Amino acid sequence: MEAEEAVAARNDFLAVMNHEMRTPMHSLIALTSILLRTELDSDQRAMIETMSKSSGLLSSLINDILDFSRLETGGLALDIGLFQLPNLLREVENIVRPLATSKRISLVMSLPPDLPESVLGDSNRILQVMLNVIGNAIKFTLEGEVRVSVHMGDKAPSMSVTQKSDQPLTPRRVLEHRYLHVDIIDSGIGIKAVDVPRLFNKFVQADSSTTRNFGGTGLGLAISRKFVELMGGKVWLESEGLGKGTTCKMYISIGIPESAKPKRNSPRLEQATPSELKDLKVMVVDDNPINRIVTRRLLDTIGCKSTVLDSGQKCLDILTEKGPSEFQVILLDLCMPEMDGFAVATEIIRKFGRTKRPVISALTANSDTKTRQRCFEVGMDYVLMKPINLELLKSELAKLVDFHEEVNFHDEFDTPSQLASNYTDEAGSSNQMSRYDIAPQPRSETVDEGGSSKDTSEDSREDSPAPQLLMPPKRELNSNNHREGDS
Amino acid sequence: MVSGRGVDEGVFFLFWQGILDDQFTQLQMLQDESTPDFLEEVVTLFFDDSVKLLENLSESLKADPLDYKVVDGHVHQFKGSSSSIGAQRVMQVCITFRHCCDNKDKQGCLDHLAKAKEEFNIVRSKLGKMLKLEKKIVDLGGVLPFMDC
Repeated sequence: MEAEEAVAARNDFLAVMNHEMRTPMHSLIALTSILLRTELDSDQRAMIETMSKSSGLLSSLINDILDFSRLETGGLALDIGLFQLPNLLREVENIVRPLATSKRISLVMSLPPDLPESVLGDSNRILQVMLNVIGNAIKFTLEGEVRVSVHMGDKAPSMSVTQKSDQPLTPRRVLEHRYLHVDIIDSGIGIKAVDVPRLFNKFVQADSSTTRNFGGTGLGLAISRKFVELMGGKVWLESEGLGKGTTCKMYISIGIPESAKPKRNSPRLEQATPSELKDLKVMVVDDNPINRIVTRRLLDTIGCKSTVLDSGQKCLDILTEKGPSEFQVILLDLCMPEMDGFAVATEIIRKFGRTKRPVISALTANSDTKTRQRCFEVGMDYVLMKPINLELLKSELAKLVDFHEEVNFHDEFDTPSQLASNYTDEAGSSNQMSRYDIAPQPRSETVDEGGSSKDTSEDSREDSPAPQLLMPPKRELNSNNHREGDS
Repeated sequence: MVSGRGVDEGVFFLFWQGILDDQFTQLQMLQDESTPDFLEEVVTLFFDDSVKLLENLSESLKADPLDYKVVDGHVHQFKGSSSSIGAQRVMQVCITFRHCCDNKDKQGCLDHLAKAKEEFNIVRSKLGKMLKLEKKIVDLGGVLPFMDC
């Protein structure tokens, strides 16, 4: 408690001193730069230049101390915004290259071709961290080279970040977060193994000679680590020992915003259509114009070839004209004026037989047991509930395709087939209703001059639904898509 | 840069109040670069179709004797359309409206017609405004925010 109070008191002090210290520093820096533009003799110029450098260093130190203090208390938030990553890296290079050149050491920066252009992050802090770690590498390299390698890594967890203004970022604007890796390898003085863990602590340098020989406050790495951790990342050093160079590795999480991807005004992420659904010929029969437009769009989006009709009679006319094998699936609304879905299904089966015809699925909002049972009784193969969403329709169509192939493969059979009907009741629980032993019906077909086949079996009864042969378990699909329905 | 914040808040409000449900999000997902006007098209069709359905309903409820099957047919259509659009409150009114038809409850039917008109006007007004705003944003080159239901 006392320690917390002491830290709070220190931070309050620093916050006040922030203004008190920075104001005179700014004056000092500004006035020395003005003086440098005036006529000065060589001694005066040398003195003013020293003053300028010193005030710059002191200003950096004050900034570092204040930053670190705020980082420790969590009082410093990232300033997230969109920025151009390649531009930032170029800026880093522009700043550090003269340092390397002045020391006659080689600086190699390699950037990958897949670097995203626009990213989301705190560009100033990323710049600060990179300048610190690359600057250190250059500082502690007397000869040889410094290599900076940047590459994109794996996906990172989404970060919930707030801007300085406490305006939460719209998470939707960031499609994904990924790690940005930066490795800096130098041929510098290296680090003793025992010193590596300490170097990220504040005010620590390798040893007392470092300050004397290289300067610095020892805050840079500590601040960098704090910022990197704020950015969901990590920074660490590796060295094989004194005289063997150092590798600094870091990674941070950056957002790849929507604008970096092809612009689209749809929340739908493109997903591959299963190949069996591509160009699948589906007929939709629904008297409701809204349903027709929506179902057509669903099917078009999936990649099916849809024929959308507003009446049962038109459905029968098209099937007669083009032949039943022209379509693989028929989605049939049930409640239609003049000819309802049950009548349409009955007529299709009567006219075209039980095989070599499209799979017939009801597409209905009626979820009651009686309706579903009646669908199966008239010979429909499936029941789909509406409204149906894109993903569910895809998966259910895939099942209908399988079913279509199965039904059309089995033309004849010698043995009785047992039929089990599965359906869900309104409470959503599975229920095995009944089993049927079906004797195979001798099936004969004549093909009329129009090319359509007609079942001329003795037991064919035009007025009642034909018994169902070789029926796989019938299921009411997408029952979790079920909405409150009427009885 | 054009902000979609107004659209974002408007859509959220419509979902939060139960005026729209997840089906509307499904429709949004069907719109893409190849069909940039899909949502507007289907919503406009819903508005036009619903106006006619409500007129038909009013007329059918004036008939003497009242044919509840005819009334039910219109309500069924309206229920189907509103369900396909995601106009949740309209759809819910239609469900209970159908019960009144089943029970041959004339007063119940009249009350429900008034309620259906009220809910339809709400969704037409709010959704219509939201779509106009969306269109403006897209025309100006903006990006739309999308709701996660």
